[in-house]
Amino acid sequence: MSVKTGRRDFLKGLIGGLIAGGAIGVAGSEIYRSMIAPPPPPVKEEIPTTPLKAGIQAYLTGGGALWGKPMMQGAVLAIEEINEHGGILGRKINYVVKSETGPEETVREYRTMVLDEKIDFYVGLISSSNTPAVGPVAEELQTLSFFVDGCTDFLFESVVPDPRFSFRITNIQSADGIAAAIGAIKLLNLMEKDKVRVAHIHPDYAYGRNAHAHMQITFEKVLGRDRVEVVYEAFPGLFKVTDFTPYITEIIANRPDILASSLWGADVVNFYKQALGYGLFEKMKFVSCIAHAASPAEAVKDFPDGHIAGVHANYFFLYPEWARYPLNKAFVENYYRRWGTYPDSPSEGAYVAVYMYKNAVERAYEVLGKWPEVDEIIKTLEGMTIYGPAGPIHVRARKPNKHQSYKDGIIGISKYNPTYGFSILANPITIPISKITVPEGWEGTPDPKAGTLAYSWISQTWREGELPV
Amino acid sequence: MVKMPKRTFGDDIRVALLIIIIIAVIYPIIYVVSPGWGVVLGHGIYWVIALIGFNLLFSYTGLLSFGHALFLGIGAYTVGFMYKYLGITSIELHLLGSILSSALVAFLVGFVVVKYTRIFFAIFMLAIAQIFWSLYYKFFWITGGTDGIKVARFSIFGISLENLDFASYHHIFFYLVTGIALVLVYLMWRIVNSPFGLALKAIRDNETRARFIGIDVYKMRLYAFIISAIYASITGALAANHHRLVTPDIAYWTTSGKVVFATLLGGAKMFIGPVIGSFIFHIIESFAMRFIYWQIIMGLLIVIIIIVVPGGFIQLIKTSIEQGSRLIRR
Amino acid sequence: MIGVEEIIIRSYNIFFGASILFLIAVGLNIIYGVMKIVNLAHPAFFTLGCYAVAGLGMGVIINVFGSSPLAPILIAPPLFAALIVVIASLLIFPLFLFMSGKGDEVQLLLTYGLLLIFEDLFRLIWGSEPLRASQPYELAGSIYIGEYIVPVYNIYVIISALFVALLLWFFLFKTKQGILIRAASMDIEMTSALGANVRRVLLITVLFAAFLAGLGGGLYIPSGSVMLGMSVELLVLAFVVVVIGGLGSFLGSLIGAFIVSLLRTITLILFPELELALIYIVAIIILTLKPEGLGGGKKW
Repeated sequence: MSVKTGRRDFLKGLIGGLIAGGAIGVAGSEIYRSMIAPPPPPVKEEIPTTPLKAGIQAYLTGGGALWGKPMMQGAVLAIEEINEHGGILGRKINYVVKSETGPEETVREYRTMVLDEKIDFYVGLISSSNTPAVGPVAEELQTLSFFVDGCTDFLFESVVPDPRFSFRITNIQSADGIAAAIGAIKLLNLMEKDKVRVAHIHPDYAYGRNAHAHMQITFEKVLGRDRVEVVYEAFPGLFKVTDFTPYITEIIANRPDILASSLWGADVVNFYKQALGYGLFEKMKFVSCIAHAASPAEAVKDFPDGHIAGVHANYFFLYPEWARYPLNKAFVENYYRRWGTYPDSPSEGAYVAVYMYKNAVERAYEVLGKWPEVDEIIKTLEGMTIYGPAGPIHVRARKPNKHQSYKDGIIGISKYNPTYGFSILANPITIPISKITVPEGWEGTPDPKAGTLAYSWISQTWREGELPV
Repeated sequence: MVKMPKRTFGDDIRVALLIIIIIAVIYPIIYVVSPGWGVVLGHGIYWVIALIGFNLLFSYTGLLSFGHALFLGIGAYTVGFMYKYLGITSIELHLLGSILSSALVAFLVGFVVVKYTRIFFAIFMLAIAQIFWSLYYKFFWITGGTDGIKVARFSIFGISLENLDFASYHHIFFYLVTGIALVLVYLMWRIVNSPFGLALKAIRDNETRARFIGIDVYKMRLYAFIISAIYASITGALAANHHRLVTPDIAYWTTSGKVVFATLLGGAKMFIGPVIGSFIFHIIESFAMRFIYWQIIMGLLIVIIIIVVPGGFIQLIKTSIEQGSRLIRR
Repeated sequence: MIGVEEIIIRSYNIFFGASILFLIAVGLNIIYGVMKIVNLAHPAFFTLGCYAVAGLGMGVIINVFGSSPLAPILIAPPLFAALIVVIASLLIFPLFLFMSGKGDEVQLLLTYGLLLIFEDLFRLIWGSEPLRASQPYELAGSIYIGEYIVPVYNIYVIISALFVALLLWFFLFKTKQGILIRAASMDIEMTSALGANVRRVLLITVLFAAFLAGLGGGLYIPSGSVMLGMSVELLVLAFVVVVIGGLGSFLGSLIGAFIVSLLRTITLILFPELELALIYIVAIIILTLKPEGLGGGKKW
């Protein structure tokens, strides 16, 4: 070994030793320090102080605006009320409003709300074309979403059968048509007629087809198939037709006893105003499952008396009667003061949605002692019943139709009321929701043609010739 | 025969450089940008394909089609039907299916329509597109109507992506569409610089003279029409996989309007115009949609472009470069 | 089902629909006929007429004229609508000048842009909810045809449209100005060589077309409602009318409007699923077999 190499080795050793020693020293002191340091303070806050953010999505333009605007107004009213009273456990709610349109764009806006705006919960949707599109995205993006309407049975029966984050407020779609048919049978005494000639006009999309199928099967089951004769059916495009006169004349020419219809929004307004000119309402009874459900003042000012006034099996602002049920009175007064119109089905639904969230959070907090995680809120929502302006509403915890909400339906006869200056729902009858919807735990399969469990349930379990309520 | 200008090595280098620049710019953006913008970027990328295809017909052949939504719809619904009725999620098969179905329809439709030109052609295409749209809309028991057809996540090389987390899935989708777009853009570049492309330009400039020198005008137009259709349908297929929902909206004539507008916006006269147009259009659209009055914006832009800057954005860039270099030279 | 009354009722509707379509299509044909411009924004004139009445004029008219006699309320809204639309067309006339003589793509794209602008202007000015102006319709009441009831207002619309058609025919074929316009539509260069002021002819043409479309809107709106997106829906329908009747043909406007309205009614009775598609299919058949349309318009 030469001297040079030796020096190199020595240097290597020295440097190596310094590095190793330094490392050990540093490591050692860190370990020592953590051993003698006090434990870190508990990290989680009990209740965050940052405000919450709600995402609202509604029809702001076009034929659906008659529903979208009130829906948005109901949600905003609830948020403002809650903020006025200190927020949810002290947290105020901010909100953003986005437009609902066709499924593709609605989904896009939803994604933006979740990903860019970072909302804590979502309240929105009217159209049954949109909930099946947004539902899976809500699950994918794991955002607590309260669908106000878009009540298609398909959502929780086929598209999202095991929902975690998706909830729906207004009654399931099949209940709409069934309630209207039962209301017609009862209020028009159809059981006493030998034969009933039925015509149908519904918008051509999932909701219209659903209403058509369920109204029809209810008529057939309760009255008996041989008593019911379908004389005409039409499915105009949703918000695509402004001139209904060809349909009107066809319907009249076929001389039905009743005209069953789920036309809504601008469509039903156009339809009935044009139909008045042709005397349609004197020749048959109009059975609408939904005409009185939105913006009563604007929409049904001169709706003819004596026809079946449906509210989408949901809510009409006069019921439950204010004297007996102060919650409704307060809601109607506050809504009117805030927006200058009377609330309707979509407003009540959105209002309840926000309060459902608040209730669930508060209940969960009472149990857990801290602001609940989203899964904890979800577990609290499942099986919960709260009291809204329309009455008690229950969130189903188990299949089928898990996360669907249920409240009794209401239907009546249209009557012009001079105090209000528009047609109201009079002679109301309540349709207990449990009698017209598939119960929890029922194990059947959706009807292949109509696509719903309710249709199968009615076909298989209802007795012909008998009213189930 | 037409004498081909020699394609030099320099041209190929320039194209390759462009591609590398594009890749270098896009890839980091995917990671940096917020998810909302990620969606816009995605649209921008795969719409390039349809716009390049449209421009082949418009700028190089001289045929303005107001019904290109027809082929976007065919691409999208092919994917929808393949998934709904055959359970196919393979992206390769989706693309193949879209290419075949659009080629078939383009052949049948083009066979008749390509005999005519100008307004007639534009309106005919609009009418046919509307027929298909109305069938998608009305026959809801086959097409799902306005609810549409939901499509599961696609699988690539036979590997399912169902269980991947959202971000990774999106990244894969990005790489995929960028790759496909680049390949197809390059392919189109070769097409328009081939004898075929030159023949199309000749037809556009002077139909009678083209016929006189022996070009089969009808056949050339038909080929261009079919190629254009295939490109549009590939975009439709990619859109179907992106949104995972196929609705009649994609086949409605407002989609055709977007195709035309975006192409013009970027500049129809240069090859690269529609590429830029696709991105600018989707960026504007996403802003404008928040602004609510976005049709005014779109309409005003169209009017301004037609009157003032017919060459679109590219023309703006060119003139500003020229102005800039003139200033520098002084 | 097929009694005399049923036929009368259905014809009633067919003619009502045809009247409206005619008033839209004839303006489109006039602009094309003379200026060779395909004006995609033309239905927006019609919609503007509807909005002008529903969103502006009807209230004023009712205040000024009261509910009776009926005549002023029937006549004033369409005229008011026509006036508003004419003013609007004056404002955009320079665009028409720019377009004339330019290629088809320029026209199609420019007028498409115009259509979009109009659509959002409607939203800007009148909001996003549908508007109505049904007072004339309701006040006119209904009458009996056998055991059927029909609104009187629709008869008024049909008669007005016939009246307009007659006036138009007289103007185009029997007056000097009208013959000038027809000459211009056949050969604009020759006409200007003969001393006619081409610019003035173009102006009159545009104003005329606008007037007719606005009139149509004002006539239509009491029977229905106006909402966003209507122009776009009407555009496709108007084009089918024009294709079937023949682009640029006055007679074609009548024929096309009637056929489209007839087709609509038939499909509603017999093939409701094909309601939308059938109209386009017929348009394509006509385009293939007789491209100049059934009214014998000019070749494309």
